Order: sequence, then structure tokens, then C-alpha cells
Amino acid sequence: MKKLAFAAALAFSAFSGAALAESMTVYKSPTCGCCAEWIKIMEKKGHDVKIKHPFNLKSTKKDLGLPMQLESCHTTVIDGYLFEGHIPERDILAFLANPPEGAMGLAVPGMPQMSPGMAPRNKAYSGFKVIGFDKAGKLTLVNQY
Amino acid sequence: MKTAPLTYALWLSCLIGSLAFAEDPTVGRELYKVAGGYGCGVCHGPVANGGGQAGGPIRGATREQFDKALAEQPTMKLLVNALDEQNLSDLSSYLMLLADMPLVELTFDDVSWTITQAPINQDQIVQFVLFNDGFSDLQVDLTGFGLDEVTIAPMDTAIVEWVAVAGSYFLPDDSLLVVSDQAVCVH
Repeated sequence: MKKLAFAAALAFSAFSGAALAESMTVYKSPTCGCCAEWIKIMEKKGHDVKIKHPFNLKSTKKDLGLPMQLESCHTTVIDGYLFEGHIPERDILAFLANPPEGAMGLAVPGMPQMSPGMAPRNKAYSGFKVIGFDKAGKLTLVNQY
Repeated sequence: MKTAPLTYALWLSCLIGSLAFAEDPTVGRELYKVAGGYGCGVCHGPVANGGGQAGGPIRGATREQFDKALAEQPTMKLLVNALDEQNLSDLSSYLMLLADMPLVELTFDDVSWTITQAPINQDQIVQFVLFNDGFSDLQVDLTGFGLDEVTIAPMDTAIVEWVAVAGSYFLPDDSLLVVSDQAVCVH
């Protein structure tokens, strides 16, 4: 019985691992290098990334409903939620595991030096905020590095 | 009358010539907002002030520095094909124009102000960069400068320009902004 329980636990962990992988669409400019670095991190974590290069990135962001003061370079869509800029993967997963009522997504505005896709590898993230935004246009502090 | 078409042709070529080679900072300012699809401000701040972003301030960057960055810096290299010669001239002239505008940066984080200011002389055009780094609307009273009160949404930035008049003015944290009565010679 012990063996069976162990096998079941293994099977469960394999399943939950697969469930964590997200399918995402990233809107970016072809001239954006740090966007590509952020995408590499997401792919390495096992997520399925589709890349789109819209003709007018700014109007795409507006159409998706991003509060424009939170603008960064790339905009990611997962399950209808928006993730703007260089957000650490763990904050995205935590959000998706339990999206707040009325939430639209998360943003790391601008181009913080020590954020994923910007910071040198193996360096701690620091010096930026992860901001939540909702359908009513309300912004909240979700995390701070 | 025979010379008329020639005169017209000359005038036209001058016009085209001036259109093709003139540097236009107002065109540069608009390009600054959209270059590369995301705009320069994402990395360099809304008015090339840095704004705490990775690219840092580039006010007053020369065309030479611009070309060097496009040739050498990994992020800038990717923009080479997105900007033509005219774009570079226009952007460059905008950055040079900004160099003559003293910057006063005011950031409020729901608790306190962080303010930095450049030396200011009479008649210079000052750029106030007001960043609301907090989560409620921010009202800033600029009536002491003869300007309207501004309301700034959370995480938003307002850029307000003011033609400096010699004197002392209170800033929102009760520190003083002093405008010297010495006029500066621009270039």
C-alpha cells in the first residue's frame, strides 16, 4: 500500500506540474530585445509562448484595456488576463491561482534594471513594484522587490 | 514669364530640401513617444529624464552619443533599422532642446515627497515632472507658480512646463525653489 501511495503522489505531482504550465500570447515589437529575454525565461519554466508583433503596439495595449501609465514594452495575455512588462513568473502564477474579483491583470511599469529579462542571470530581483489593476481602474500594490 | 517655371522649380527644390534635412524637435518629441513601437520613454523616462528606468537620462545626448549607442548597446542596436537618418536628426534635436530646459522632478509615494531640482535661471522653460508613485489620486497645488492645480492618477506622471520668473517659490514638501535673476545665454 505504501508503494501505491508513493506512486499516486508521484503521479499527482507530475500532473500538477503540467497544470502550472500556461499558454500565453505576448504582444511586442520586433525591435525589443529585453522582451525576448523575458520570453526565454517563461519558456524555460515550461510555458507555451505565442509571439505577436502588432503594427501599432500602443493601440493594441489600449484596446486590451491596459491603464497606459502602467506601460512597459511587452504585453502578455493569459486566460483573458493582462500581464504588462517584466513581471516575475511567480507573481503571475500566484495571480492566476487566485485572481481577485474584478481583476484585469498585473503590471511592472517601465523598464526596471533588476527585473526578469533585464537583470543579469542569478541576480536577485529588486527595485520595482508589481501592480494590480482592475476593471474599475483601481490600482493596488501586489508585490514589491 | 519664361523664368517662372524655373523659379517655381527652385522654390520647390528648396522646400523639399528643407523638408528632407531640417531637424525638427517637435517631430522628434512625437517620435520619442512611439519609436520602436513602445517609445523611448519606457527606458529613458517620459521626457528623457531617466525616471528610474534602466536606460537612464538622455537629455542633451549628442548625435555622436546617439550613433555610438545604436552601434554598441545591445538594446539600442535592435533599433537601427527602425530609425532612418531623418528620425535620428529629429530625435537628436528634441534631446538637445530638452538640455536647455531645467528639470524639477517631484515624486510622491503616498507618504512623502522626493524632489530633485536643477539650477534655474530667469526666462528658462522649466519642466516639472510630477510622478504619483502611490495608489490614490494626487493633487498638486502649483498656483504659486501661476499654474493650475494638477490631479495625477496613481502611477501616472504629469509634465508641466513653466517659464521661470526670478524669485523664491515653495515646493510641495515646503522646500524652496530659487530662480536666479541672471539670464542664461543659450548656445
